[in-house]
Amino acid sequence: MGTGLQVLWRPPGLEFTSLLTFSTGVIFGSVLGASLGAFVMFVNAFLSPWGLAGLNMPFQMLGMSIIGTVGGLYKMENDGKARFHAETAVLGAFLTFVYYSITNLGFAVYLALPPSSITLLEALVLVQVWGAIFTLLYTVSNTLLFGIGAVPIVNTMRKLLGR
Amino acid sequence: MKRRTFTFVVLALLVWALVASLTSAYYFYLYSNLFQKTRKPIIHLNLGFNYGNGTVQWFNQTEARGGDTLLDITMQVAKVNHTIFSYGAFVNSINNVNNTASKAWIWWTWTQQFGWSQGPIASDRYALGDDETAYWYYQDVSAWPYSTPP
Repeated sequence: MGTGLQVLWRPPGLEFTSLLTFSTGVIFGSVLGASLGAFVMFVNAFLSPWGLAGLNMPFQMLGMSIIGTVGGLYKMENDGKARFHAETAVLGAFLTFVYYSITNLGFAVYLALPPSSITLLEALVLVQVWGAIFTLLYTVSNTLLFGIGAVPIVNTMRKLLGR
Repeated sequence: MKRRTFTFVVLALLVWALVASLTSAYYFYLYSNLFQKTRKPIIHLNLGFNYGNGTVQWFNQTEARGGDTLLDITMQVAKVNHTIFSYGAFVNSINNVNNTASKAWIWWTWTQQFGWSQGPIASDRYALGDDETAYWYYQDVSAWPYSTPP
């Protein structure tokens, strides 16, 4: 389902893969969460409605697998307390920021390749600044998505799986 | 305050500080760039077209008004068909050479520092500066990154 959602057309600023990868990590653990994240981004690299990822693919796979790993490390009990909504909202924001910082590193590597005369560090600063609006958009949308959606998704999946 | 709560509060503040700083830096960059480019009322720039079949056309020292966008200036020298989307203009064809599933008109700029850089935004959102070089390249877009102009 995560892979299908990722490769379907969606409006800019909105994606559900991070939330599903994170939730998978919470339920099944870091290894499966990270594997799902990497797999989805591998498939996304070829079938994304926004075009081929090319050189950025390994960075996208790394970023999404970190989201799955953190999901596995996060302790969410079954009681559905309001604090879990707040905590997952903060994690959504943080993990999205980490994800975009890593994928921006991919663009920076591309920008710093010859014949460019700038260093990788300079390219990284430039790309982070150029991509700030995208980072902001996705950080805000994932804060809301994680805050609203992570707890019910995890609780529903646990009930279905009898955990 | 519990340690767990404290950790999440710190994390939230950290993300807010980083995202706010980057957004401020982005708008400062846009402002400085636009200020630099619109200081002169009349500018001269170089505009190139590569049709992807060996034909290259250059319009060197083309005169334009400071603040004119790449699309404005392209339409001065070529026949352009474009569609306006929320993110800006999408160029469908230049001089009757139409985009296809695998080939499209992509714009680039040349600087000594970076070499060729792919246009970061839509051509109707990008103001050209004095002495700037812009280049429309009809190229293969089936794989990213796109190849730089020859």
